[in-house]
Amino acid sequence: MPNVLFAVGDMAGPADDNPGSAATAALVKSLLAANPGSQLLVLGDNAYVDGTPQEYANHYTPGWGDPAIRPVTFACPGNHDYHSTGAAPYFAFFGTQAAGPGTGGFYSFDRDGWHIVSLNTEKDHKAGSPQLLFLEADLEAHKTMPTIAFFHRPRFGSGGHGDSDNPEDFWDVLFAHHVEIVLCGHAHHYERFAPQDPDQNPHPKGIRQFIVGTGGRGLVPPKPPGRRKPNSETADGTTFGVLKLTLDATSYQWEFVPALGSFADRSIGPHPINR
Amino acid sequence: MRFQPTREQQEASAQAAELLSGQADGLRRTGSVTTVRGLSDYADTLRKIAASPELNLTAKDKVDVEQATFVLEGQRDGLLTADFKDRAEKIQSLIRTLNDIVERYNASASE
Repeated sequence: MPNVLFAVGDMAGPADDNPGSAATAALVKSLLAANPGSQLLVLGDNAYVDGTPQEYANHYTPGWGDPAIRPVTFACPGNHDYHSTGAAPYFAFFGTQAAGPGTGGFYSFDRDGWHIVSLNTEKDHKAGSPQLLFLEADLEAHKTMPTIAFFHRPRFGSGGHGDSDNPEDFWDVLFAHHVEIVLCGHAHHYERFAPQDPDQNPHPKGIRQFIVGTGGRGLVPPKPPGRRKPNSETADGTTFGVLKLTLDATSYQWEFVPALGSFADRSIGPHPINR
Repeated sequence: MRFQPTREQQEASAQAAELLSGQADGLRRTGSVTTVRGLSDYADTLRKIAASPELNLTAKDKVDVEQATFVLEGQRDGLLTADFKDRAEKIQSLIRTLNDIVERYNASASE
């Protein structure tokens, strides 16, 4: 049976500003039930506006904290989580298993032949930092495994926030280690890029980046086709939903599953891994 | 957090404050109140950083700096769309420097 992972960010909060959260959480619950053994990666800004304990209790827990979802959730922190000092409520809520050891906010795990790395864009990750040293050593130790990295801020984007220098150092290391997929939130739309290198050149063994900031926070439309960033293959800002990744030993496939709205995106056949 | 901004961070803060203030001024003249107040708060925080060799940087100050970077992202992208690439790159440089302040605060607050 292939591995199935779901991913989404920018979810829970006050209903007026987060109109898609309940529907997307309900969709995730049904998808997890329909795909036994699947897991959920949450891509940061999980509880708006400030990632407080009250917001995790009042907004995140009712849908996303469901007993069918929470035990199979793995997280990375977003900038809104750091509106609370040190993102302490985030670390307290998710604990070591789903947020990594300590308060660094970076960790990794293996899942049926794939390696998964969670990174923290909100703290130092320049050359020589503990986080980048961890990433280099971690990828070196798993260099034969196809790999997914997930973190909050996207390197490239055609919507709100646009491009960000923030994950530049991540990208250099991830590309050098042939990482297949990067998953991000932060921008409140969906966007899929073709495999590319850190300088935005198309590359057959480059990184395929997805932005999935469609978990509930009000959507922001991306630029129209023709004005999007290089290698952007599709983008949408009308539909809340979640990304489904189906992974096997030699390939992966993707599907954007709508929760509220009608946009959908599905790979045409499997895409080979970079190994 | 006691914070000693670098010269680069002070200069970036001063320039960013001017950009936000200019935008706030235009919005004020066209009838905005709430947004002007927000932008002015961010600009005030940036001016405080620009003017102080050492200061107490609060959680609110950090969020103000982060919010300022988001406003600057809009200015950068607007200029890029209009093909003012050089100025857009200069604003991107300000964003990068201000983000260093945010990261530094986050790291300090985690200790």
